[in-house]
Amino acid sequence: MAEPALAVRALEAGYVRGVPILRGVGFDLAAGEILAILGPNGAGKSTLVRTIAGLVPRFAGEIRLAGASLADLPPHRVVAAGFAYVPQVANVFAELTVDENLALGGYTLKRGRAERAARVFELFPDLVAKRQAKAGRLSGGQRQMVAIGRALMVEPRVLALDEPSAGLAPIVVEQVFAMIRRVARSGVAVLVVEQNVRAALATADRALVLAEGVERLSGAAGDVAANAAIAEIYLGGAPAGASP
Amino acid sequence: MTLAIWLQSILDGLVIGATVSLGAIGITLTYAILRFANFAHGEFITWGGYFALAVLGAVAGSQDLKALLGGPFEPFSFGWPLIVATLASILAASALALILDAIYFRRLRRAKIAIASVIGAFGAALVLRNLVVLGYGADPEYFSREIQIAIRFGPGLRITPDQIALVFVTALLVVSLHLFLTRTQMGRAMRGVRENPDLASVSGIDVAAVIRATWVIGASLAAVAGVLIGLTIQLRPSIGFDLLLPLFAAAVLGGIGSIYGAVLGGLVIGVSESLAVMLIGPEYRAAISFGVLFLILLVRPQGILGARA
Repeated sequence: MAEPALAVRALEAGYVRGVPILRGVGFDLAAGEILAILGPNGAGKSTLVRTIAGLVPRFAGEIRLAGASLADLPPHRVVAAGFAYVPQVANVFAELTVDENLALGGYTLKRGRAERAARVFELFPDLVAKRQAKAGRLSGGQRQMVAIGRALMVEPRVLALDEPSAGLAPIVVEQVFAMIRRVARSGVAVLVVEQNVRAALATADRALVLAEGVERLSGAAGDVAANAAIAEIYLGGAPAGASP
Repeated sequence: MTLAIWLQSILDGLVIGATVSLGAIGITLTYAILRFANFAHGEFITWGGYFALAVLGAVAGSQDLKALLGGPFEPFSFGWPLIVATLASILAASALALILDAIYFRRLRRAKIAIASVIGAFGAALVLRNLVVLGYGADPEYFSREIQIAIRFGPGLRITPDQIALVFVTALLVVSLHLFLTRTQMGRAMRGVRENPDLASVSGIDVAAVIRATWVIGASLAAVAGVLIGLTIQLRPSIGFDLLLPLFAAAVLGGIGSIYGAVLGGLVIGVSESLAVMLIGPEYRAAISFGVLFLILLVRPQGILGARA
C-alpha cells in the first residue's frame, strides 16, 4: 500500500502538560482526499490541526508526512516539509497586500515564487485585480482565497483549513468548498475542520468526528452523515454502547 | 527676533532630531515586533559611539593603519578611519544586542510581565552605562578636536559640513530601511511577524531569525546615531541615557510601531527642544518636548502616524 500523505497515530497534545486536550487521535489521509474533522465545540478539532502545524505541544503519538516524522518540528519547518495550515481567524496579513501575502506564503521557497503566485491567481482569478490591495480591505470570500492561496504557495502535500466557512455568507461558503474540491483534485490531501457539518460532509470524502479529545465516529462522509449517532455527539450524549 | 534666528533654531533642531529619529526607529521596531519596550536602547547609542572611538584610537595609534586609511575628506572632519570605525561599531553593537537578548531580554519577554521587562531593561541600561564609565571615565570625549568652519547660506544660516553629512546619512538610512521593509523577503517577514507571529510561523517564517534581524537593525541604527553624536557634539557615557526619554517620546508621538512616525517624531522633538532653548532657555528643554508629546497625544492618542488599536 502506498504511504499515506499524512498519518497520525495515538496523538496526545495540549497547552498544559498533564492536561491533554487530544487524548489519542489517529487517522490516515491519502493524496487528493478530503477529510472533514467534525465535532462539538471544545472537541479538540482545532487543537488537532494546530498540533500537526507545530503550534501546540505534542505529548505522545506520531505525526508522519509521506513517511517522515513531523513531531516536534517548529512551525516553519513543518511548512517546509509540506504541511500548510490556514488558521480560522486572522488568517491573512491584513496590513500587507495580496502580493505580499503570497510572497510570505512562499517564504521557504528559494526560487519560483512568481510562478507559484501565477498558479494561485489561475486558481483564484478574482484576486488578480486586487494584487496591490491590502488583504484587510477584501471581502470575506476574497480574504479566504488569499488565505488559501498563501498556504498553497509552498505546493503542500497536505492543506489543513480551520473552519474555512466561518463568518461567510452561504453563497460564499459554497464557493469556498468548491475551491477546496479543486485543490484536492490537483492531488493535495485536504484536512478541513468544520462546524458547518452539512457543507463539510457534502464536500469531504471521509469524516472523523471528535468529542472531548477522542474519536467518536469515522468513515466515509456519506456513512457518517447517515449515522444517527452524530446528532447525539453534537448534543453531548453518551456514545452508543458505552458503559456508564 | 529675526527670521534668521528662528530658521537657524529650526535647522539645529532638525540636525538633533535626525539622530533622535535613528534611535527612535529601533525603539519602535523592538516594540512592534517583540512587544518589548527596550529601556536599554539608549545604551546601544552610547556603546556605538564608544566602539567607534575605540577603533579611531586604534587607528590613530598605528602608523600603518593611519597611512592606509588616510586623512579627512575636506571639508569634513572625518575620513576613512571614521567610516571603518562606524562599520566596526555597527557589528559590535549588533553583537551586543544579540547577546543581551539571548542571555537576558528573551527571559524578560517570556515572563510576559510588563513591569519586570521595563525595570529589567532599565537595570541593563545602568550596568551598560557604568561599564562605559569604567572603561573611559565620565569626561566627554571627541572624535576630532579640530574646529569646523560652518558654511553660511540663505538669510545668514550656518551649518557645518559634518552636520550636512549627518542629515544625509540619516536620510539614506531611512530610505534604505523603507526599501528593505517593502522590497525584501526578510523585510516583509518582519512586517508579517509584527502583525501576526503565529500566522508568520505557519507561513514558514523562522520567527526567531526575524527577531534577531530586528535587534541587528535597531542596534545598528543606534550605533550610527552614537557615531553621529560623537562626530557633531561629543561623547559622554550618559548620552544614551539622557536621550532615552526623548527617544520614547519621539516613538510614541509619531505612533509606536510606525517607522515613519519615529522619524517624524524625532524631528518634532528635535525642533521643539531647539526652539525651547531659544525661547525660554536650556533648562526647559526636556519639559518642552514632553509638553509637545502631551499636546499631540491629547489630540491623537495613537500618535501622528499610529494606527488605532
